[in-house]
Order: sequence, then C-alpha cells, then structure tokens
Amino acid sequence: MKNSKIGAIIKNDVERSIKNKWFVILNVCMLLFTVIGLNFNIIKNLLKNNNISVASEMTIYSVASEMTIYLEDKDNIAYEKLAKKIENTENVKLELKDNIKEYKNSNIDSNVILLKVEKDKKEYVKAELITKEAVSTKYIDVIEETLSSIKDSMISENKNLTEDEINQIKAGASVERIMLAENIDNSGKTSLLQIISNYIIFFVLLLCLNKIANTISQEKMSKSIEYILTSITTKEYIISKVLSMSIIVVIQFIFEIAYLVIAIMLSTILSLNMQLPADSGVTLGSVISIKNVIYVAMTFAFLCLTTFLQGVIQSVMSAKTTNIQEAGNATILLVMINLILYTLVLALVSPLKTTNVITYIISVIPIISMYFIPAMYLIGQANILQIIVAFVILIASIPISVIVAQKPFKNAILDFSPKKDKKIEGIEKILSTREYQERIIERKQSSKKGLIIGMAVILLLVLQVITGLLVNVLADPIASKITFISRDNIYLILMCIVFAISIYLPYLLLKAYIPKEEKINETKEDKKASILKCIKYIVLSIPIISVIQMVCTFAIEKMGLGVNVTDTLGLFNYNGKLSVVLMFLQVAILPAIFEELFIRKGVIGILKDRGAILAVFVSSIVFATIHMNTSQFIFAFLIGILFGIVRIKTGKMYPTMILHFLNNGFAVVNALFYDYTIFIDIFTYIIIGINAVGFCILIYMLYSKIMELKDKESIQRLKEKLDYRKIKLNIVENMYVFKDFTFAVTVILSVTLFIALDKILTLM
Amino acid sequence: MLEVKNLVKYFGIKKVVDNVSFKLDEGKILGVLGKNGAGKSTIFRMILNILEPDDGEILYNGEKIDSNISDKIGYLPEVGSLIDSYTVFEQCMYYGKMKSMKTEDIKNNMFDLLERFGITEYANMKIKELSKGNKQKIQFIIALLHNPDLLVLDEPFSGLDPVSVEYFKKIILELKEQGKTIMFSSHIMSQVEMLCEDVVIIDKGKIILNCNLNDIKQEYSSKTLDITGEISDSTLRQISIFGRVEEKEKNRYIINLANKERINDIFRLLYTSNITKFSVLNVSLNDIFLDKVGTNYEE
Repeated sequence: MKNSKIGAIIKNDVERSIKNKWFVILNVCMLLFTVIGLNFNIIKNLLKNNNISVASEMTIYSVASEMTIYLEDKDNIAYEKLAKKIENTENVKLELKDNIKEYKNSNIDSNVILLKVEKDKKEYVKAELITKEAVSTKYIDVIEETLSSIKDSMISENKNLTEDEINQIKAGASVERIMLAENIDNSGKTSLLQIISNYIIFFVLLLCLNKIANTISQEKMSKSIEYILTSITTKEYIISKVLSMSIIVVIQFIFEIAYLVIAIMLSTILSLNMQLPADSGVTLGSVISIKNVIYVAMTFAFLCLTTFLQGVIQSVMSAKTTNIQEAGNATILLVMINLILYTLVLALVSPLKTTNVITYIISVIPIISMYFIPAMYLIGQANILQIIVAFVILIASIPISVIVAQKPFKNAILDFSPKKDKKIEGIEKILSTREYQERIIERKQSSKKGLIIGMAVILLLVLQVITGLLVNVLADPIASKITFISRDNIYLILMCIVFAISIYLPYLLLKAYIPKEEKINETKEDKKASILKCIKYIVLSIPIISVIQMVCTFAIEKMGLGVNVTDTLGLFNYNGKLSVVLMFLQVAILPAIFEELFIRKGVIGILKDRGAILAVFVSSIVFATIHMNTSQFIFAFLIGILFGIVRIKTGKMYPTMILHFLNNGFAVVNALFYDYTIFIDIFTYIIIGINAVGFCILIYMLYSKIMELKDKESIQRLKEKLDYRKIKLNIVENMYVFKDFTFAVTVILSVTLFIALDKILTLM
Repeated sequence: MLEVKNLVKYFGIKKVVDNVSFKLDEGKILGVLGKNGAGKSTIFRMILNILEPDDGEILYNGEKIDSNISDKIGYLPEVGSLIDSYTVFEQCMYYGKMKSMKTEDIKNNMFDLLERFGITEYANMKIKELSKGNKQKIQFIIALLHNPDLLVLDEPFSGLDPVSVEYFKKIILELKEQGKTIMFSSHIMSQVEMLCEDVVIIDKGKIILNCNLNDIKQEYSSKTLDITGEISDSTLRQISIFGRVEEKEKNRYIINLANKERINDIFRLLYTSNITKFSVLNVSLNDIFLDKVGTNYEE
C-alpha cells in the first residue's frame, strides 16, 4: 500500500515536470545544440565552401592484451636487467631496436612502448619513454624500478664518488614520458568522449539538484507537506522525491541520447550525400567500441547512484530554505563540490602520472567515485577490485544517507526545533523575562561586533597581500619613468602609501560601527589635567615596555624563533638621506599613526561598551595577529594589552601613538643612523633617562599603594573593585564576540599567510 | 474513538504541550479552544502523526497512531496546504492518491463535494486563481475526500465570510448526523458554542478545562444574578455575604454567587425592595474562557 503512495508521488511529479513548457523549451535547445555541435565541421565546411578535410577519427582505446617494449640501449646498460625483470611479468615482450625515433604516431601500435636508455653525465641514467596512448601504469612501474636498480648498481661499481654524486644517483631515475597521440592536434578527440560525458554529468546533476530544491521548497512553502506527511513517513517522502527527480533526469538523459543519435545519423547522411571526406563528421561506427560502451555504462550507473545520494543531501538542505530564492542558493554548495571534484580529477588522474595509494583510496569514496572511477578506467588505471569496492560503498551509502537524513529533513521542513535535553528549572519563567531576552540581544550584538572586527582584519590582510604584490609589480615600470628618484626609494614610497591605505580602509569599516560618543566641552583645567595624566602614563609605560621587550627577546631566543626585526624589515640596502627618512616613516611613524588608529580607536572603540577587559583583550589579539609574524606575536600581544590599558585610562589617542612611535623608532634608529653616532648616543641616553624616571615613579606608586592598603577600609575597596565573580560574568557574557566564525578565520588566515609568505621568501 | 494520554512536546527547550489528556467519543464534536500559540495546532499535528510526541501516546480506536492510521483521518491544516500551480482537480488527485484512492472515486467524491458547496465551476481552475475563502472550501473538500470517520479541522473558519461560516457549520452538523466524529480548533467562541458538545480549553500547553459545554454553562450561569431595582444599603450588605456585588449602572447590580443554592435566600431578602428585574444570567463561552484563561481575549 505504501509503495503505491510512493508511486503516486513519483507519477505526479514526473508527469508534472514533463508536461511543462520549460521542459519542451529546454529540449528543443538541447536538440539544436547537439545537432549543431556534432555537425560543426560539416557546417563549417558548408559555410567556408571548401573541402579541407578535418581529420576527426575517434581514437579508440583498447585494453592491450600484450605489450611489447622496444628498447634502444646504445650504452648497453639496461637490456639485461629489464629482460630479467619482465621475465616474471606476463604478456610482455622485449625487443632491442637501433633507433626508436623512426617510429611515429602513424606506424606504431598502441601496445608498444618505446624506451630509450642512455648514460648521462648529470643524472647518470636518462630514459625516454614513448607510447602512442596511455598504457597501464603497471608497465611503467616495472621500467622505473629497473632503471632505479641500474642506478643503484652504479654506486657499488664506482667507489670514489662524492656525497653529492651518491645523492644524485639515489634520487631515482628520471624518465621523460611522451605520448604521441597526445601531441597531435586531432587526437584531442580521444578525450572528446570524456569531455562530453563530464558535461552530461554536470548538466544532469545541476538539473536534478535544482529540481529537488525547487519541488521541496515549493511543497514546504505551500505547506502541502503538512498534508502529505499525514499519509506517508518522511523516509518514504524523501525517497519518492529523489526518485522522481532522478527519473526525470533519466528521461532527460534518454532524450539526450536520442538527440545524439539523430545528430550522428544526420552527420553520416550529410557527409555521404555531400561527398565530403568521410571523416569530416563524427560517424556512428567510430564511436562504438567495447571500451567506450563500458565507459558509458559505468558512468551512467555511477551517475544514477551518485545523483540519488546527492539528491538526499540536497533535499535536506532545501528543506531548510524559506523561499524559492534560497532554494536556488542551496544548490550552489553541491555544485561547487562537484566542480572541485572535477578539477581534482583533472589534476590527479592523468595517463602521465602513476596512480598512488591515496588516489585509489579517494576514488572509492561515494560521490568522488563518480568522477574518479570512469576517468581512471578510460586511461587504464582502474582495476576491477577498485570498481567493485566503489560500487558497493556507493550503494551502501544510499540507505544510510536516507536514514540519517530523515530527522533533520523533517525538523527543517516543518520549521520545528527538536527537544533539547538541556533541562533548566523554570525555563518558562526565564524565557519570558525581559532581562533574558535582552541578554540574548546583547549576545547577538557581541557576535556582530566579532564579525565586523573579523571582516576588517581579513580586509586588512588581503589588502596588504594584494597591494604588496602590486607594489612589486609596479615599482619597476614606475622607476623607469621617474628617473630622479632611485628605484629603491620609489619602492619605499609605494610601500608607505600602500601601508597607509591597507590599514585606513579597514579602519573606515570599523569606524562606521563605533558608537558615537558625546563631546564633552573641556575647560582649560580639565585639559591641563588630562595632558598631565597622559604624560604620566607615557612615562610609566616606557619601563614596562622595556621589561616586556627584554623578557620576550629572551623567551624567543630560548624557543629558537629568533628573528631580528631589522632583518625582516629589510634594512640592509638603504643609502642617501631620502631613504633614511622614508625608512623611518615606514617603520616608525606610519605604524604609530595607522595601527593605533585601527586597533586602539577602531577595535577598542567598537568593543568599549562590552567592557574594558574584553576590549583590551580582543584588541591585543588583533594587534598581534596583524603583525603576521609568529615571533612577534607574544610581544605584540603583551604590548597590545599595555597600550589598550593606556588608551582606556587616558581616553586619548596620542599617548599610545607616542609610545608606539618610541618603541618602533628605538628598534630601527640604531640601524638607520649608524653614521651619526652622536644622535644614537643622545637617543639612547634619553631612553635610559625616561626608563630610570619611569621606574622610580612606578616603584614609588607601588610603594604608596601598598602603604595605602594598610587600613582595612581601602583593602575592602580594592576587593570590591576586583570582585572576580563580576568580572567573570562580564567576560563570559561578552565571549560571544568570539562566537563569530570570521574571527577564527582571521587568525587562521593570518597564520597561513605568514607561513606561506615565509615559505615563498625562503624559496626565493 | 480518539484518546490522548499525557501528551508532552518540546520545541527546543520550551514545553509547548504539557501533559495533555482528553477523550473524544464517536459521533461527537469536540472544540479545542486556546489563545494564539497555546499549542492547539501542535496537538493536532501529533494526532495526525506529523510530529512525534516526546512523551505520552495517542490511541485511535485503541490502536497507537502511526502513518497508516493517520491516513484514515480527514485533516484540514491551519495554514493553506494547496499548491498554487495545480488545478483543483489535480490537487484532489494528488492528495487523493496519497490516501490510496482510485481515480474514479476521487473524481466522483470531488464533484459531489463541489456541488454541495456550490462551486462546481472551480473544478478546473488553478489554486492561485481562487480567493482565500474558496481555498479554505477546497481544503475542506480535500479533508472530506476519502470519507474519513474522524475529521480534524484546524481553524476551519478562518478567512471565511459570515455566509460561508454558516454554510460550513451546516455541513459540519450534517456530517455529525452521518455519524462522523469531528474535532476542531477555533478562537471564535460563538462558533464553538453553536457546534460543540464538549470543549477543551488549552493555555500555555496545559488543559485548564475539559468538560461538556452544557454542564459548564449550567454551572456558570446559575451563579450570576442580574437585578434591577432600588435596594437599600443594609440589604446590599446582607447580600454581599453570599457573593460579590457589582453595581453596573444606577440601580442595576450583578451578583456573583459562591454557591448557587443561595439564590432563594437572596430572593427572600429582596421582598421589601422595589425590584423591576430579577434574572439568572446566561453566560457565554467567551465569559467562561475569560474567566479560565484570565486574560482579555480578542479575536
């Protein structure tokens, strides 16, 4: 009885989609495209009105039962070993030839491997392997193994080899592979079948997924699902929907084959009637061969099963949509996955490559197998066991997927959130309190702030990378136009501009979200007091920075991460006053202005209302992240915390800017002004002086604080201030800033970028 | 015929149906009342096996409900369940086939019902061309299409004009005479009042009243007196011992008694006063509902 219902749904769906004007329009288009596409040469000939024949014979693959290796071995190093090796391998013959170069695509069979082995000064053994088409890797493996063993024996023969030479020999034999059929233009038709079938796969999948997405979201939106689910279970519903869509696609597929046959017939008739060269069109006979038939059948079987599997996944995703537009978007994910898989096949499966174990393992995974198995079969790299395993796994995955899909599908299509086990006492009451709902809104806002900061940092990183590349590309052309400034200086100027832009644009993004603060009219006394406060904080911070710097330098050296800052900045090639100024601008002034603007004004400004602790913490993470440098990470993080505190306490921008400037400036001033020792001396003395004064004040303040704590009242006050439960609650509530995934992406991106840049630099 | 036992359902962490139990006997009409979001539709969806209960069970003729049984129930969902691009006939075919009906039966039943509603001309019109009220009629027809013994109607009167409402009521009463069991939800009290014998009032997922409509009316009405006339203060003070006195207008009093046996006592107390009207109030379901749910109830 149930089966009849599934049948009813399928019948209804199939009828409705075929009795549809869009189906007719689509098919007319497909017929036209197929006919025109396959008769393109004839049409071209007709239009050109000349009889240039275009060779278009389909190359037919055959699984060679017997393989012959023609060996050219002038130095006489390989024959014996190879002959010994293939003794054990069935159906392989070895023949010695004088000159294999005389064989061309036209006069060798597809079951012949041409192998030329000679001695080479650099690589010791050099081999060239020529085949007409792809051959099974099993033969290639045998040859490569033999060559390697030849090389190995060379070590034992020559005893006075240097270490480098031994390494060179041990590296394995280099085999240059040439495939004659691949090199000739028209033989591109060998992959025609594959290309067509891949197009069909895509077309079928796209059509199928799209149809499933549409029909399910339609049933959801019209709420007819409510009615249907009273009669059948979710499992039956999913099966019937996916099946009906698959049947529609199969019908479409059959139609397409009919169009192909029509087109090929037409092509045959036209080429006969018009007495064109026989091979100017694709003729029926040229397509049919056992291998092609197996290929098509296998592709079809994999396509059907995989479509079903993807259909189930698609149906769950579509059930989550709320309108037709979203239903369309929901197909993008699977289509993207399919595209990626297709690209992966192009990259991994090639007759020129030996297939490794990983490829074999990947190839049996459902969905992936649809792309890998037929492609590998076509070039003779698939074995029967692999095909069977892939099939079995694919078939087994279908019922599993349906069972797994049931529940999420039902919940999604009824817009119903299932019971959560989390039991909270009096949840009804909590839910209906205003505080609770307000807290949820607050959390969402926190998470939104995380998103904005994350986006800004991603923007910053991307801008830095892109503009950095642009500068590298543009520096030379610009330098050739402007002659009065040296190339290096132009590079520096560009870097400065780019640095400013790449931080200022993300800052603008942040700025749009900084809550507006009311301007307070300050009296003269207030201003004076605030300036004094700022000076106090600057003086106090300098010794702390020194301590952090010392500790970090020590720690980093211990960890073996020692990177000299001046080295990374590339301070080795500067000459002339202009470049010194530019360097100073780039290293000390611009970061002090723009990084402070971005971090201390932007990030802290956005997060200030979430609590000062969180704002300082997040801003230091971001500050450390944008340095894109693992060794600087800890230092930047600690400095970030200090600067954050200064920013919050003073409420002004310039103290941290000055501190940042002093910190960066000190790092480069030695390297920059090595000619002016007096300047360096003065600078150093000033720094030492400030440090000393700062330390004194710091110690005095600590001392007075401790003194203050002597009476009980002030201890109580301090305790209240540091009430950890309050702080904890505040932090936990605001942790939702980190909930947003862009934040995680930001950190991952910056780390990978750094590693990648590092790798590229070392390679260069 | 239908028995609901200790039904519990959660949406996320929220309990939307809380230990609901009631019984529906064959040939009766049950009205389910409740505010928006009280959990009426969720209970209906569970009866129709669209949602599985987290706890408790639903028995139909003593059998636990599953998709085979829910198949035999006629269902009118609260939200429109019709597909716009279908014609009325195609829609009936689709849903009729879901109920394992034969094509001929679907066609005959559909035309019979269309004729009964007087909308035969809509048979080949597309759903999207119909008005909201007519869509509701088509939904009703679909619920009746497979001639079910139990009808579950979720807000059957929403979107209908007064004439159609009367028509629906007439048909529902006809169905009752045919021996069908009907269960429906509504928030328009007057409609429920005229149709139902039994009512279930649900608030925040819990049943707060489950009884025969006449009984509860009897109980409520005999407790409220409406008296018009000049009553002296001392008499009023004496009356107020029996119940709460409320002066609606000048010389018009509404008296809520704690016990209905006190009516005679009050009548006797008033014999010296100049009374123009003495009546026992007939309460509406609306009043009972307001009294039970305790909030101002609006449509």
